[in-house]
Amino acid sequence: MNCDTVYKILPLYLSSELPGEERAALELHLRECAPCAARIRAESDLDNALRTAMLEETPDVSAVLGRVHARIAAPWWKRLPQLTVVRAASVAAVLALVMFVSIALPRLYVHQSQRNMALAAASDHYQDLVLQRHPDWERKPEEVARFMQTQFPQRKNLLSSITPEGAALEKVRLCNLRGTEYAHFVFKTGAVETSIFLLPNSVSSGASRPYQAAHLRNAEYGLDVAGFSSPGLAGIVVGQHDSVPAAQIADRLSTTL
Amino acid sequence: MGLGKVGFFPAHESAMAEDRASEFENVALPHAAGLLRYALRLAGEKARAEDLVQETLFLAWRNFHQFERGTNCKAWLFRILTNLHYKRLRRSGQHPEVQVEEQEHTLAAPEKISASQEMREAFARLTSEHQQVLHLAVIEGFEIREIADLLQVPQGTVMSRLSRARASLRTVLQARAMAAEGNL
Repeated sequence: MNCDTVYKILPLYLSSELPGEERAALELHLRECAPCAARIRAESDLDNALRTAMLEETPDVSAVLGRVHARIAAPWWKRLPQLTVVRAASVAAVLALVMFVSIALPRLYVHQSQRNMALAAASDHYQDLVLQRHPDWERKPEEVARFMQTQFPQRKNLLSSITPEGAALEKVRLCNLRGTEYAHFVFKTGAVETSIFLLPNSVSSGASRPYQAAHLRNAEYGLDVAGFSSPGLAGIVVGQHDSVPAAQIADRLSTTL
Repeated sequence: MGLGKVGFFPAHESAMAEDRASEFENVALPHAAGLLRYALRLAGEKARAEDLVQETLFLAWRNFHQFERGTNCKAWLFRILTNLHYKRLRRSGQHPEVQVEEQEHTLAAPEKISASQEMREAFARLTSEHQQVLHLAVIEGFEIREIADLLQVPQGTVMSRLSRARASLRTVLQARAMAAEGNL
């Protein structure tokens, strides 16, 4: 071993990490090389002096330990205020986003989809009653009864329940509103026609998500449209503005069906 | 105050939690003073250093299940503290301080300075890099590979940095001694 090698591995020797063989070789060199031996002694003395000087003053950790004990002992909700303002703000922002995604976004979506459905109903009402595009109506009492039995087998008195006051059923058919099948009932009060669209054979999701696009005015056709839902059924009421109290009928159906 | 004795866990929780608390107290908390000494070196200011140690010990407590029994707990704690310190520095936009050694050394009156105080003052003149490596090796007694792991540098770098740090310390001490002699 030469002096350069000693210099290189000196830190390992001083921290007592030098493997046995190398350590023996180094110590052999030190016996023969006075400058290296003096250097190692000086470095070792320097380390000892530094260690003594720095360890002479032991920092007081009692305050830190007290706080650590208190924090560890505290239940999790008491630890929350120790979050920094920035972290708390981040948490609040994430919570707000989660709430928006889980609550507001579906509502907005539902709102929009129900509005579209209401507009589709208004359009269907207009095409059926004004333009008379569809010939497949059931009009005879036995045909209507069969229709009701097929589409609403669980609801025996449904027809009388949905019939607006003073009106009579004119006809019924299955229609398609934006890909969903509805039963389209047309009731007549004198010359005034009221359409009620019902989603057949379904348990409405409206109990927890009532129609929010309930009452809208379709200026294009001069119609009022009102959505409703009840624990068992969901539907849409359409009628001529100023002639049919669509909102009132929808409100009644949402509580009586 | 003992973690396992003062009801940190509700009575219904298992004895394992008690064991864990008492193990943490025996294995981790004795290093609090060393951690604070090193934190003072890194953070410079007492309040920040104490906060750093408090956060380190709390993190260690929360992650104590990850600590492998039989391994060096002190090195584990110092690693947490070091990571936390650099994370905070990054978050605050600061960079690890690299000091340039001062050329002029102001001296207190020689009769008032003990050898240890002289050494502490000389040590304070070193760059933070040299202070850090000497602190870990000489004062805390970490092995070269442990220091390399803590500082995320190769072992060879630690060894050469240690040699330079010792040489710098000796130079500063000699310069101060010569200046003191000149003042006499």
